[in-house]
Amino acid sequence: MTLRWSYALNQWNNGHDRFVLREAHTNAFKTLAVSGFNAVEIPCGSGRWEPLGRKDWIEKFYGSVDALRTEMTNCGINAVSSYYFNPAEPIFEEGAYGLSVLNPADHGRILGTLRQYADLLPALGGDTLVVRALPNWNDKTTVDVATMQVAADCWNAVGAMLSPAGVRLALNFDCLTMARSEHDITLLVDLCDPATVGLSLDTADAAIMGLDPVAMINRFAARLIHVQLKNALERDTLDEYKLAFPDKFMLAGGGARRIARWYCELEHEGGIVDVSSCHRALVAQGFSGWIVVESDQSPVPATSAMLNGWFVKNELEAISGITLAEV
Amino acid sequence: MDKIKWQYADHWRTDSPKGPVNQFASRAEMDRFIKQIAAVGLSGVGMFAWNLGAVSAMFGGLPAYKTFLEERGIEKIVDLFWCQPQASRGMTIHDPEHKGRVIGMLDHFAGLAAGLGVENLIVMPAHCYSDTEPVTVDRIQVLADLWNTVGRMSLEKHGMKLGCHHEFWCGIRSQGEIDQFYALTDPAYVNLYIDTAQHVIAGVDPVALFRQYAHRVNGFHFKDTRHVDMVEDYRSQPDPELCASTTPRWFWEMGTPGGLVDFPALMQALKDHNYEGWIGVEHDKADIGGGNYPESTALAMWYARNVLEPIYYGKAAA
Repeated sequence: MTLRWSYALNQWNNGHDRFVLREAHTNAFKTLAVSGFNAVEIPCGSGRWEPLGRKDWIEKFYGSVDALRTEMTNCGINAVSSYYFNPAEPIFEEGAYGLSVLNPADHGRILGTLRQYADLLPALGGDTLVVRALPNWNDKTTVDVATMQVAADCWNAVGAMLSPAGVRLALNFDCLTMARSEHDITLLVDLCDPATVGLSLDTADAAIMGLDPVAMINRFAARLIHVQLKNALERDTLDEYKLAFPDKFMLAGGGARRIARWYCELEHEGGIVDVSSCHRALVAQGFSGWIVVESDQSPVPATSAMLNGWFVKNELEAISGITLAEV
Repeated sequence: MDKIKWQYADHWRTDSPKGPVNQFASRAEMDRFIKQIAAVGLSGVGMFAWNLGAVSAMFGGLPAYKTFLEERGIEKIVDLFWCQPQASRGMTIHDPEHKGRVIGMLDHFAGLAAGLGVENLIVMPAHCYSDTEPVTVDRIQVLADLWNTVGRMSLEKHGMKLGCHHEFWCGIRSQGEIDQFYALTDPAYVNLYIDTAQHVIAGVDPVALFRQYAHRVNGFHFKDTRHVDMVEDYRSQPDPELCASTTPRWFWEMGTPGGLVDFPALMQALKDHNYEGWIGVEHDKADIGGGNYPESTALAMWYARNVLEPIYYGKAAA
């Protein structure tokens, strides 16, 4: 197995009712396909405005999972590489309004929600479930062995549940997470079963946190199974991840510096991630998972897809020798 | 070597923190524009002739711009486009006394592009319909004389084929007017440049038009429309493409739902007549009503690669 390219649909899903219509899905699939990508990552979702996020909504909206796959294939998209799940987001269908991996009482509900992806991902040609590994930072919870063991218990159970279906679980740490360092991440990852649970690295979020994504790739090579490859424009030098609702006040609102956009395209001249070096490190480490190109907060999603497609084809493929068309 | 190649026709505008900008604002914007169109399979660009100066200033000369294009996967500037929508006292192209000004101006623009390998000089062969009226045989004869001279100059001095591009609001727009014009022009020097949407809006079938004039066609703008002008919207002022009474948006990307251009039939006709060369993809005013140029371009090229190329090359649809 070699590294495979995918592209995250979340840049189109930039508002609760912005990515609902089938025409919008089709346009995104076609835009990605003609830009060179033939796999996608989908955010798990809930409710009438997230028709791709859950099996029951796919069936309501497309008639069946197979019908969605047929539509994707007709557009040139061969697989859903991965789904991304954040336990803290509402799950209306299950009456859940913020589950936490740090609350043992929620573990059963998290498992119950994620069980569907053991069927859904293989049916859509994919094999990786990415989860937000830990909640936001807060001043009452510390990253210690006991706390991480609670999270690990949940993720190990999820990994064991998914494994028979050939689905791997990847723990993702974004720039708002309570885990703030390689040490913190190591603490949790080391408590998880390497056979079923791996690491997902987001290069931009690592950089925003002040971490070095190339060093992360090398440090965690043995556990790295999924990468969200994107660039960032700023570091969180004011520790604004500590704000209340940092997804709103820091990432969307821009924080005290009123940062217009945290994330950007791979080749952006103001980017703080050395994307080529990240890719070179992945190739050197023999990385064999999905590289999912992302461009959160894109003002024009098609532009981001086309620019990222150009950069992968013209710059990164020369490093890896792996072409976009090989998925 | 591909028998057909796709080029992008200049119209482009995207949002920025300071409002909409186009690719001529800076090298950074040009870089983003070129990489986006190259990413989806386009390998040439068409340009408005009057933008050559800005590009030359931006790159320190047009040869440097050609290198810039090549480094990003774009072969070259394929077409230069010129039009003069309104007649004026200083420039009325059906006034024989202004013939020298038209020729001089186009000679100037074509000369700027010397050495770049530009293949076609594309013009709207009349002012807007209202400013061309009365559209008589005599007036079409005057225009034919002008374009015969320009076509000869363009080809023999600059190596560019002259192509006439008939907007739905052009003074030469109907099938009858088009037939008169091409009967009066020299096939050696005056070619037809087919804009699919413009002809459909004017009530002219672009597939039949191509089959009729295949031997004189030197290029295309492939774009779609959802409307035919049934109420003389072509007379709207100041710009029928903006001020029509029936629709706020005339032009759409290839493959749009409800599109009236029969692109598969046209592609079959290109194959039947062994057309080889460039096909232009154009999106004029793609951002009206919330659309955007990048997405229209991606969708059009998806359609070109997955629907049209298999027809032309005789392969099963992807």
